[in-house]
Amino acid sequence: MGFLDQFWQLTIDGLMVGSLYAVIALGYTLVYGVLQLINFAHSEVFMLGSFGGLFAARGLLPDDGSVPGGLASVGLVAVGLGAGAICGGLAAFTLERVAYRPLRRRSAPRLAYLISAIGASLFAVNLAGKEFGRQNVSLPDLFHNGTVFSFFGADVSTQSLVIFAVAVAMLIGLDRLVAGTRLGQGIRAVAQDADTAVLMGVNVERIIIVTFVIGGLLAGAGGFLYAMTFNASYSMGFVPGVKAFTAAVLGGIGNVRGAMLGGLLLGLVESYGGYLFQASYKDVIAFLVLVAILMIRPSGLLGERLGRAA
Amino acid sequence: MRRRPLLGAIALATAVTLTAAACGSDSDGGSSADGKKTITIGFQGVLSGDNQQLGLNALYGVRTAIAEVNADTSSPFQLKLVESDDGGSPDQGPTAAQKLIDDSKVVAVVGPMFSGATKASEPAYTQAGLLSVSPSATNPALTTLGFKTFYRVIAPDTVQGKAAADYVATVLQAKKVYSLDDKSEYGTGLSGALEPELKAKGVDVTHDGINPTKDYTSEATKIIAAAPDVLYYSGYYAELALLSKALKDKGFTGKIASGDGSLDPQYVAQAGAAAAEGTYLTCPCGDANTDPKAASFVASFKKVNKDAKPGTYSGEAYDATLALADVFKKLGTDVSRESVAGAFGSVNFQGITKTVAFESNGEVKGSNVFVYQVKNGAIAVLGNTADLIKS
Amino acid sequence: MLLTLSDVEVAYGAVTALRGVSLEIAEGEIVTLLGANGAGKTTTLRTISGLLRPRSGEVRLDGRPLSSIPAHGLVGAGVSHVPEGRRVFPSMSVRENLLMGAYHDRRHARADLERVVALFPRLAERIGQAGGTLSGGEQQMLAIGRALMSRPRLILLDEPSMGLAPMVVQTIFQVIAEINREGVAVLLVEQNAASALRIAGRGYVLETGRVVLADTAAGLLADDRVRQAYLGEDVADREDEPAPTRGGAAAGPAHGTAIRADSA
Repeated sequence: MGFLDQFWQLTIDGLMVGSLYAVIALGYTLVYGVLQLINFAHSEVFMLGSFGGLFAARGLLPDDGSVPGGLASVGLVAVGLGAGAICGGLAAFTLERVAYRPLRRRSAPRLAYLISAIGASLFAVNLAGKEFGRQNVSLPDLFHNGTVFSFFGADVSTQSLVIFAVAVAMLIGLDRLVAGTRLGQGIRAVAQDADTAVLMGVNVERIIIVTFVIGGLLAGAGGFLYAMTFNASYSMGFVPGVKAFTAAVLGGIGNVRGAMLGGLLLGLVESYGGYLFQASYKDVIAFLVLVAILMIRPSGLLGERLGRAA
Repeated sequence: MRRRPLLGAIALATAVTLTAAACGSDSDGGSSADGKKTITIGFQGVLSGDNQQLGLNALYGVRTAIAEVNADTSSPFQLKLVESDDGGSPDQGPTAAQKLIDDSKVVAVVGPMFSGATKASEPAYTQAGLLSVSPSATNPALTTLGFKTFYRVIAPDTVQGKAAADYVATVLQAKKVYSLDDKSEYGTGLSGALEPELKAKGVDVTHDGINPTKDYTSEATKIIAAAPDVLYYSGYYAELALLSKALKDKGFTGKIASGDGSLDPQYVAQAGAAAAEGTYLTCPCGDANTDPKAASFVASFKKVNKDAKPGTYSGEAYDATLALADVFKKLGTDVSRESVAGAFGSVNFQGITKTVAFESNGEVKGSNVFVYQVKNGAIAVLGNTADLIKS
Repeated sequence: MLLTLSDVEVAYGAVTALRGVSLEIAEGEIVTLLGANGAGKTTTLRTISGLLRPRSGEVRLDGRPLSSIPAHGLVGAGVSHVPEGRRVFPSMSVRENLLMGAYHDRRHARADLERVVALFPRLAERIGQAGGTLSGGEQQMLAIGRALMSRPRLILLDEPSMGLAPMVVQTIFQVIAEINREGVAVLLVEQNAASALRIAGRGYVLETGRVVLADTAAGLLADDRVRQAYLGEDVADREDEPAPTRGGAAAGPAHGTAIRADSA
């Protein structure tokens, strides 16, 4: 079986995973945009959101192990996304308040933020391990998962379609938010010139916290989607977190559309690479691509500015 | 140089804390309140991480054995346990082993559990002359590396791999097998034993390896593209669960099989009953829960471990511990690392999983390989491979 | 009084930048702030707009202490600050930059946008272009236009003519005068003291964080020290002669350092 026979299947797989990377990457890029800070604890926001969504959806499932259908399925997915987003948003809010704001008040050096992020991250991972156990936790099927349609011999399953569609909807929603609303205007103003933004009447503290929460909502909902395929566990955040960060850098950190493009691209490269070479080299291939692109374009594919996306 | 004293103080405080932590379990003396001598044994295994359940299975088995010995009024000694977690990884193995070696009261160890961690830990045990009895490390090479104090109460994967291959070829009548391992010591050992036997039976074998990951989508695509009759995964349950999920999502129609590393109810829980349904699991271990000879073990296990059921390796760990106690009894007053390591090779103890007796290389004598299958969301034993192939 | 500073001290860490500055601005007047680099002009503006907080002393707007208003609330209170170096948002279009001026209150944004664009026809031509791609003069127009979008009662202008061609400088000063005619008070910090004093009613001279002179524009124009230090004239010479060397023996020793630094 050659690569070309599987090309479309791999493309679909890559887009599905890539859209999740993109959703998480937005959290990195937004926070970097307004604070020039890499929020390394973002992966744990994703993890906590994932558990939130998973437990909420699982709590509403029928006890008999039957797979729901129709409206019940739609409702369950919606509840899971909502609960994931809320947990992610709450986690991000708490993180900002506890780990970053006190440092900002004291004008702490950059390194202090990094250490604070690592500390918060370790705390969240171990708290989750203690509360939710150190096993993988699976999300039972919320709908009948079958092939929705095929093209060029590639099957698109209900699950990958749901994940991709929801992720893309979130990406478009965020893009509109940043480009077309007053809040988005504020975010972009702070990202481009925080002092001047204050002179325009922008409440920078509020924008910062809202930015964290938006990143958290996205990561939390993304975490729920991720758990549908890959299960949830206390240590699940690290790898997708690193990948999403990579995607953000790939597209140009601080650039919203860059993060989206970076995520999708990374997903595709991994998918193709994992098939062409041994699957274990997937990560190596992904990072080689990153290094190669950064050698040619150090500021990422679309450059660094949050505002340039709009 | 104003900061020197502060730094020094921090360094000192850290050193003291670490030392205290390392020696934390050192406090009580050699004899207990009722005058019986206390003998301390160690346990090294996977007590955290994705595949923690296997470690708990074994640890609970050890605890059950210890509780039985300590409850026995005729026993001349009390047993005490020191636990050491290696996370199942080779990196953490030597540190976990060193913790037990440094505790001078520990005279023997049950563990390590995973083959990779075992390979990394054994040089330290050999050097310290401390006996280690693994309930679960099945990589064939482990007994050929000159580890003088290493024994295992489970058959190596050469035995399991051969039996699994026979079963897959004869009973499942596979013409084409996709053999995938997780590139660990255990996984490569098992696939390395499985594949030649399959080929010898005229089966078309595709070999592939993938390090543990979460995302098996492209691997699933690859497997489905190869269209095998049977996929045999040599690795642990957390990964097989995700792989099974991905395969089901993509509509894989072949059969899934795996080894003892995946034989745990957590496999079904994490893959979801639908994705796990029908999976075959081989293991050189019987199922204590359904074996009438092990009924009293199961009862005592539940009593000691808050109603937990014995799982994979629970029986082996229990047998290993009781075999140690048997040796201690024979040694009488002369229980030391040296005497225990010297005497254990000639033990002959009737356990619940098998008779614990060893070849000169530390390999357990005689073992059966069983086949299990996920049916209606639960793992059920199908029987001994030898019997299944005959019928 | 629209704005009052009384005995304001401001410090950056251990470095004191303002040492007891007092000044006043009434509704509708143009006041200019002269001084050498580092005298504290920009610090004064940043303190008024709340970006810096005084260590002691008080800033009052309409008699109300400014410490009760957060920095981002000041634009709503009627103070608009055009910072040094224009500081347009580089990746936003001209239109988006202008709308940022109405961020705190968008009710009149549409009408104000038309008004501002009418004031600066150049901005109309570039309405969709990114702020960062404009020329210096266009950026200054954009920065002033953006400030006007907030319907200020007081506008703080920090070096609006810096680095601009003479033709453009002229336009900018015309616009400032026009804005003032509509009733907006202006506090103008300028290197170009001659132009500033021409449109201002009053002025203050700052030196090393203190107000050393306060007078009407006419009074300042007539002051020897001002003429020599900020208008580039030798005191002995008449206005129609070109200014020769600066800071000669005529400069008072007390002000010598600051004056030389400025005219260099």
